Amino acid sequence: MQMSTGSKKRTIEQLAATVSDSTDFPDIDTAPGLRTLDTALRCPICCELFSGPVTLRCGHCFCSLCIRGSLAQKQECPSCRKGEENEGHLRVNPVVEEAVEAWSKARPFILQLLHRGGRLSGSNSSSESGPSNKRKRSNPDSDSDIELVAPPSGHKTGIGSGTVFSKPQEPMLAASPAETPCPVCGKTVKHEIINQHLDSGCKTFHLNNSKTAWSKIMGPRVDPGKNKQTQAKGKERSLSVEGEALPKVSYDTLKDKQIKQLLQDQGLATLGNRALCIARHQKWVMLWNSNLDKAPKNRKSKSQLRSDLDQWLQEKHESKSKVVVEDTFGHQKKYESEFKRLTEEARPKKAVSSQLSDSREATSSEAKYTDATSSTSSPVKLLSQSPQSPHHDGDNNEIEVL
Amino acid sequence: MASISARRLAKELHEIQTEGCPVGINLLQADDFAAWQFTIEVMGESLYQGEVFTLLFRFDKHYPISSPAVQFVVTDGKTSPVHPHVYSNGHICASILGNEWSPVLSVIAVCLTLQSMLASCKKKERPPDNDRYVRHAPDNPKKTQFHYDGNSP
Repeated sequence: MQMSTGSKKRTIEQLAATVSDSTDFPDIDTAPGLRTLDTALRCPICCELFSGPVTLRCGHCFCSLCIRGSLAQKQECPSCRKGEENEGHLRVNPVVEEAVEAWSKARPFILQLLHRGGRLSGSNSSSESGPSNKRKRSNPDSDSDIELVAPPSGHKTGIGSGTVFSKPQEPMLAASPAETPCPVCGKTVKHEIINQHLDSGCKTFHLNNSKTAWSKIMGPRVDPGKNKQTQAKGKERSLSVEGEALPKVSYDTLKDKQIKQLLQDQGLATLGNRALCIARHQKWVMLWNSNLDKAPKNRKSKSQLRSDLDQWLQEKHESKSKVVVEDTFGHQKKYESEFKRLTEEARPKKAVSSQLSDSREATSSEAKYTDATSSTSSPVKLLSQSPQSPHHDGDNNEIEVL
Repeated sequence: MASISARRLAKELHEIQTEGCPVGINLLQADDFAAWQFTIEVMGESLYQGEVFTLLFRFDKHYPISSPAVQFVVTDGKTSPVHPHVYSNGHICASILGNEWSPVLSVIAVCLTLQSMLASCKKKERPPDNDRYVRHAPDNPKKTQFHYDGNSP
């Protein structure tokens, strides 16, 4: 027992030391904005950098998987509690996803710079934390000034006016000099025929031109991406990329067989009882749909999702069985008298079940709790049919008990 | 790859260790991802001046989607504060621990809420149904369905 708590303590300390969070960065006085930036790019639910960020109607952003899990419990925004939200209201947020992708690359780099700066000034006495911190920051700053700021400024002077340096880039990116975007319909048209195009009411395109124009717009985006995916990851990958969102299922209306069919359709195991099958399918829908909220290149393959599901099921199973193994007999003995008292108390209440009281609720819910910790203890076996949801389903159970 | 709840708790613990707790709150014990203990006292002028209480957090594997079970420790000579929303067995009737829980809340956020709940107390008294509740209360306060009557701070 002591050993296990000791090792537990070690794992928690290890994990606490290895997980990345905003406090990796120095505080606001030392490095303004860095910590806030890191926090801003983290999901408030899991505190990890956003994975498949989605926004609700109120504008708050979460990982797709996290918010789906939260909405399954309660249909409101966890941040502002605006109600009546459901999964249909989720909108993918590709801008945040891009920002996170960039930040996850920049993060170690910046930390390294900070670290290097810290070590340079770190030889000073530690009591002088103020000034040493300042130097810590100024060092990497000056580094980054050279490395990061210099290129755009060179760019600026090279191209010209300089005040707005996104402008000179635009014509270069948008179209070759032979083509111009039509001021009316916005499509790219060859320069020589722009008048003809306008005269016809934006209807005529030179056949060749329109084709090349479209391939210019669509081509480079679609083709290389597709090729890369199909070549690099094979069938599985393209399957997951092209998949469609799975609809929510109202399991109550389905028979066991139909639920198993649903699982089979997804290529999932159909082992276990009805509750387990439902849980498996629910989680799969969540994993699948949240995966689709990511940019295609960030998506997981179907087999990866499957192993995620397996891991989730295993964790679920583990956390259940662990408690049972530890507790069964000791627990039963320890609470034997209490169990008896509870069953005794529960019985006569049948007659006065209309009486609404805290105590009644408490009684049944205690029985439920003990059941959750040791499913084999007999006095509370009656209750074990109820789905194990920790949330206030006390009322339902009472009906079963009484 | 640790589970989401373990990683999330590890992050919270890491932040507590690097940043420290808010004034009046101290981490007493966090040996695993199942139960943590904090000491809590109300700073400044209040009815609870000089009293230090111990809070017990219990987490399940669904944290932070599901709320932690939070109560005051009443064993080993420790007592729960006398407060209209705190039962003598340490159970707390606070909506954010029940149906008002949100996964964006954290352990520290709960501590702060409870601290302010104590700080704003006008009269030291037990809840009216204290005796009846305590007699039958479940071990885990999450198994109780409290009725929040809206006058809680």
